[in-house]
Amino acid sequence: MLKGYRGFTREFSRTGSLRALWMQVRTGAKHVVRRALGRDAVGDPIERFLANYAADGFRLPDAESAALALASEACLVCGLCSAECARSGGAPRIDPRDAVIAASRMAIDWVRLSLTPFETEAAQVDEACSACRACEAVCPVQIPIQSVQQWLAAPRS
Amino acid sequence: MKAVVVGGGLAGNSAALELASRGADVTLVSAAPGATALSWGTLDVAAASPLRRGGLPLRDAASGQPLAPIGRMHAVAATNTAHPYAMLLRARDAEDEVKAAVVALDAWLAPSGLRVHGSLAQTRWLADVHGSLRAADLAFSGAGEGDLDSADEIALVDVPGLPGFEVRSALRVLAAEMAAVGLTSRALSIVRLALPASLRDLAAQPARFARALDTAAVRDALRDAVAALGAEGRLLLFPPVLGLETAAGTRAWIEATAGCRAAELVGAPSLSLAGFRLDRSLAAALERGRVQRITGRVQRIDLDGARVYAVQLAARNAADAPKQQAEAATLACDVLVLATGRFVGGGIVEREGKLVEPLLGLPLHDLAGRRVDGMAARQLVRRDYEGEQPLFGAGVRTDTRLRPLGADGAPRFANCFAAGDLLGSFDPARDRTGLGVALLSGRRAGIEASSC
Repeated sequence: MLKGYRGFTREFSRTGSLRALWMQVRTGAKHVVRRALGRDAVGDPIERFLANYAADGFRLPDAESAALALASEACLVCGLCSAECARSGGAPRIDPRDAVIAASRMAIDWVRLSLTPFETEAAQVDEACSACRACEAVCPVQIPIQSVQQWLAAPRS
Repeated sequence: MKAVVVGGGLAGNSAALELASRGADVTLVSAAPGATALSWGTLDVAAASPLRRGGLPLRDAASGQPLAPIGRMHAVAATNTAHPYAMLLRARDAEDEVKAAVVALDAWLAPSGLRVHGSLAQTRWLADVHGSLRAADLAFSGAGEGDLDSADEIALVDVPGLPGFEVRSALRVLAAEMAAVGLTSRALSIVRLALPASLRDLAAQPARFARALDTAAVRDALRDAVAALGAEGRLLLFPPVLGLETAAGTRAWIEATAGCRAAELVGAPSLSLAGFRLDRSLAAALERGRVQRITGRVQRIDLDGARVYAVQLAARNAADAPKQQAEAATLACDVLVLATGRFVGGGIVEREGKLVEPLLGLPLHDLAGRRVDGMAARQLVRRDYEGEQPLFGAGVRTDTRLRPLGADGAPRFANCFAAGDLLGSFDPARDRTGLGVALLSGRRAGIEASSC
């Protein structure tokens, strides 16, 4: 019955976020209760997801976020974008490579959950990135890195 | 003669430069920098890795004599008759071929300040960022000056805040591996570079830190800290971030300031600017050699029986870099060199669960000679962490003139040549012949293409 919740302290041990720990514990408890009442798979799964988690800041990714997160998953972590960015004089607050790695983890809205260190820096990304797209020209897997930077920097509602 | 080279790594660059020096009108098409830009500072022709399973031996098994890189090349060619070296050496003298290629590469890179160090007669020991020993034949400026055998005292330089470099762990590994190969008389130590507060944040981003070291202002701020690292007879080994454009200027400044020798550790994929510098220097050589360079993807190659006559480029979409002009969509060619790489470069791709060579549909073979095009990548992977993986040896086969073979075992096209990692029957990561194959086959493909 508790299968799937064995890792419930993992996000907490990684991030130290008490909120993450509380949400994991609560979700686990709810799940157990629902299973006991035989009500865990009734209705449209997306509706259930939103009813359970929207209040906590989880949301389904929009088409653009999903596309960027998917593109970012192709990252080889080679670092050419970071080197090319430095060479052409750029100094974005989030290193292009870090930005792409962050984006690949953001299908869920981690920023609003305060689980990433990017929350405070994200707003400053746009100012420092000169949008020269030098990073994109060297990316071996053609990730739209500049769009990723903009997406990370965009204000979230 | 119009020549088109597809592929932006060392193989493609060597072919293009060789063709241009022989008077051809050369266009190089690349989608992105090749895997060369991810290399880590050494040029392994046939490097020994005696401490790794499956690596090339340091000594001849029968006589016990140390093998020179040329000897190891012959050993590789003898044990694996489909290895690119076997094809290259069947009709040629190994020593002349390698020497000429290394001299040519050094001449291409020297105007950018990047030199090729080392000798083909003797193995030199370098250390990498993890502390592992590298028996490198040749190495580029930066790592190339870090010959462990030549120093009385070796000091690893700890740069506080630099990610990807664990200096204490590296020292432990290095001490153990040096003892294992008998390099026991060298003193090993760690010295700490005292970064001023203004530079501490910068070290978290290695590329930006490297660029800062190229500037006079940052060098002034670091002068005292670098001077404090020096000692008589010491070799300072820095993580591979000494300068972004070329390692020569920053390294020379450190040697002058510290008053002792300094070099870089050989990099690792997570931390190395050596490949980036090599890629930049090759790009500069292409410019000097009047090779036209186009960033884009090849969509299709037009065939006329047994000849290729044009390369069609894929249309750019609007999201592509707007600064670059749209290029002509069709490139006519008298000869074609394919140096599209393997899995990183896109020379071999998996489409709908089947491995294919996407441009010409050439047959692919694995290390054992089995046809593997049409098979799924996962069928060619074994559950053996250190063992041989058939997938990583997959590639096209060629004749001795480097023309790719068709399904019948004869050259498929009269005017098409292949070079670099696209050539199969070797695993560049495992037998440590990666950039050596790229250089030797790329240059040879350029020569053969120019006389086609």
